[in-house]
Amino acid sequence: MHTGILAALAFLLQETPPVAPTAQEAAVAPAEYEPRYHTLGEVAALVKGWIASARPERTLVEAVDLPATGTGLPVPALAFGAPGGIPLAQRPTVLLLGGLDGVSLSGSEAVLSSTSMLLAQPSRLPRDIAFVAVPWASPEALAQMQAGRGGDGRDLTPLDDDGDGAVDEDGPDDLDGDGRILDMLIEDPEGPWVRAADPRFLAPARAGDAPRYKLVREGRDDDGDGKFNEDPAGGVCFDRSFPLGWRCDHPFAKGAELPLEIPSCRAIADLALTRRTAAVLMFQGDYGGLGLPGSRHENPWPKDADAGAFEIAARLFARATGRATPPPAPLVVAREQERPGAGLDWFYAVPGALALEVAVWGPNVEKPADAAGVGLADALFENAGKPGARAVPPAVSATDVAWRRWLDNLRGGIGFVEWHPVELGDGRSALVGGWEPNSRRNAPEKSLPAALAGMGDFVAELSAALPVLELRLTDVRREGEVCTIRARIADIGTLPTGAWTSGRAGSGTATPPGARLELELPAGARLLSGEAGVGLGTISGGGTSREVSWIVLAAPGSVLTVHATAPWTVAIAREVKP
Amino acid sequence: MSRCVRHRATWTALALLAATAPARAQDPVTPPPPPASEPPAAGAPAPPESKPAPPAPPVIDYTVRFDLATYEASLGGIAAAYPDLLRVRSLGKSRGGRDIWLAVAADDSAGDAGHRPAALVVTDLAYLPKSRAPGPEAALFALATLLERARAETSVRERLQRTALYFLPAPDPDAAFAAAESDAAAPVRRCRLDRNFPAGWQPYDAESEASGPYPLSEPESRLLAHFLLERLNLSIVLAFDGTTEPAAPPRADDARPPGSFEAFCRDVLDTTVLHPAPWNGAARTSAAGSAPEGFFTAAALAERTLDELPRIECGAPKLERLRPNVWLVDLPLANTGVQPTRGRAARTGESGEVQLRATGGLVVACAMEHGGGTYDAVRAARDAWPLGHLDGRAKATVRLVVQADEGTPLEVSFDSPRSGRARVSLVLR
Repeated sequence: MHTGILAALAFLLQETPPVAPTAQEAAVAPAEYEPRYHTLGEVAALVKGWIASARPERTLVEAVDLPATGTGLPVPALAFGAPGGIPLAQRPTVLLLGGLDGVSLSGSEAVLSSTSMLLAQPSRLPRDIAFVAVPWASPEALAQMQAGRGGDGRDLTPLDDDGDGAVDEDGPDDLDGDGRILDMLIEDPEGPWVRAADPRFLAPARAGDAPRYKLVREGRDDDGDGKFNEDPAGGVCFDRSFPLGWRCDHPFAKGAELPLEIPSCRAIADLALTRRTAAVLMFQGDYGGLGLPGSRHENPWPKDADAGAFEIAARLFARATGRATPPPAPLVVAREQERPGAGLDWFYAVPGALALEVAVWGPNVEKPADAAGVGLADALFENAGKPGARAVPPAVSATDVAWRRWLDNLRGGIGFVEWHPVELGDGRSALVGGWEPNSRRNAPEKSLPAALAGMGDFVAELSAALPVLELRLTDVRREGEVCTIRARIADIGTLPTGAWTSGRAGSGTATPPGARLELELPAGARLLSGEAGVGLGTISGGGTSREVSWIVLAAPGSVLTVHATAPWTVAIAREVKP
Repeated sequence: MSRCVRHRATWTALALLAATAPARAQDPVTPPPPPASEPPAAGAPAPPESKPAPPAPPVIDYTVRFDLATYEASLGGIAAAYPDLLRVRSLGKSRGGRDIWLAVAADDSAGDAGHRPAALVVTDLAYLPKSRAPGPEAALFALATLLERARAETSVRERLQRTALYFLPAPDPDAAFAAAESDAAAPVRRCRLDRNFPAGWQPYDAESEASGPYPLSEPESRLLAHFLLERLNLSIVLAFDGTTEPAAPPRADDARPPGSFEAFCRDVLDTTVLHPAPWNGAARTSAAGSAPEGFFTAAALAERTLDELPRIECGAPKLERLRPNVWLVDLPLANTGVQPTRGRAARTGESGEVQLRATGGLVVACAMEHGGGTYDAVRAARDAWPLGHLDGRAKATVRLVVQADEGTPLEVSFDSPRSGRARVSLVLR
């Protein structure tokens, strides 16, 4: 392992006590955040309050204008950072995105709670770093989710999903009148699912398994085409509309069958391009850990690209949250399926940021006091006796086992609605049931504090670990008019100076320069040896670059300037007078 | 053309463009179908007597490189000369603020162009680094030649009554004209337009800044992609290659780099892409003006393309009385074009198929035979009978069982986005 990574890990392993707010910080805390689910209006009010209550001598806070959604919902956003001479817009930026997947309300709350914590404790804001927070990154979809109508992250862009000429005509319905829209199992000999050994859960059907089911959202066949809920209200899932691996899910949807087609989603991509985006934290998902770029099995970067940086991030996450989660894995593993068009891949590949999906909620986030002696619910496997059924139903998947443990041991089974029959009309019936809205995909409100614990600390520690350049002039001398300068760059931060992807999108086949040293000559001076600008590649945290030397013919008293830059750092410059 | 004359010509052209852009300038994607009783137009309507006769078509020197003013003046002059056959509108502005002009060649007296089989003639977006972007001259010459022939020859005009030809002579006006205008600021572009389309787009390209930060990041590619996606009637794209080598090798059929305009046309739009290379040969003169020989070849290809578009034709129906009020109707159907009726709209749903609709009787059953003698029953959709697709030159027979009283007039229509509409009328007796 590179010495820089070792140094960085040593830094991480030091036991550093949590930083408490100073007395002065506690006295002027801005708008208060409470761990509960906030509506979009409340989010907008919080953001507005934070901007209005900012005191520039303590914290710089600015509004970030993002276009409203198609239905006119605002996309509240703000930028903030420690006071300093560099404007926020020009600093290396940590972008905090909540619920871009249109599902993760818990993720939105994580952005709010982290922002609140950082604004209340400005001593934890690293110098010359900016944060941009977009708590509700997909407002229409999140509002749908909050109202119990969402589920797949779609916004409200009207789309003709099934190409029948009608728009949004067959969406979910509350068939059993319980006020909730859950899942529905329709018996189908070609269906991909069967009920598992614990019949609350489903498993992929094996040859000979019966009965088989199709899994859809609860609802009737409103348009009478034999399909159920195939053209619901909306829409576009923002987190599936980025261009890497993107494929059109709605071939008939005029105006929304292109990647990044929705202006309020494209604006988030443009935001990352216009800022010097060093890290993107996407708070979403229900696996409780960190997801890495790689939503498909084939990706345009090497398999082990930036392994050191991701390892550092994982240790920071584990330390901040106290979670004993599995090692971070690419999205395709963490999400257990390919997720083409994922935003995470694009933020990593094109802006070249350290991009991470932070799954705020998951089955192992809440710890059982004592799991022993808590039995699983006795569930009736009602179809076992049907002719043709296999004797042994398939096992429950590992993920479902984890969720079952949480459900039964910590929630006493509350949060899952047993499958129960409903009439679909025309003599057909189906089973309705599944996870309640705030149970699996988002934390129950009571569990929100546990889900949010440590999220702000993680953001603070990750930003504190960002690289910091130091220019080391190892030799500066003059003999007559001939000057010799030798210099190196050191990264005195913990993370490297950039990712494998940083700068690559614009550099063609050439290797991107990464960190860079440049010598600026005064008028009349001449470079006798060395290149004026030298690419130094990526420098690991705690590491130094190779030495660069220049020989310059310059009149006595001349001032030369050495510039050092890197993708994730502030540029520095030093005047040299050999 | 002197600067003074050129400016006056530009203003004249822009005025003409404004005058020729009708309220229905944007050919709608799904226009309301014409009433069933509307007979097909036999030709262009006679202009009202109060209207002045259109000016004579301009005679243009296509052997010189156009600047923006010359281009707009030429296009305006052509539009003014053929008000019955040409509609011109701007798709929008380029990054440098120049209009991207679209010209639609079609005889509107036969219904809306957006509902007819169509092809696109476009100056290719691809050009070699360090070489100039191809100008609009070849596409403009093809347009002028086609219109001149449509006025002179009934057969060409008839083609423009059943088909439409879209022309985008300068889809990247900043690249085409910036170099020709010394006072114009070079546009700030983040990529090569021909690598900026959502078809296998990759973030990393062999060339610096080639593919852009995301597909359609540029206004030109975005406008073009939107325009094309809305044209479900489009089957063929003729991309006029900018190669100036006299004997440029033909482009390989599978040459479609990731994210290229060509990949987008083939893989997303499901269109056939042809690459004529007009910039070669000695100059000669026609009624449209002087142009290199290659321009004439490319213009002839554009005209021939109209015959290759999918076209549904229905032959004489065969009628048999099964019961006093039950009829068996056999309708011979053919796609007389080379291109299939299957297109992008057919990927996942039924609305891209050939759809049969009937009025005047109740169609109680429908079946189709593709030449093997066996009829397969067709399942009815909500308001039509989806018949599937017909390959180029394919024939089929549609069998209808119709319930209606004797003497009932039966009107049957066949529609698909790519092949347009064919109708047949008969009386059940």
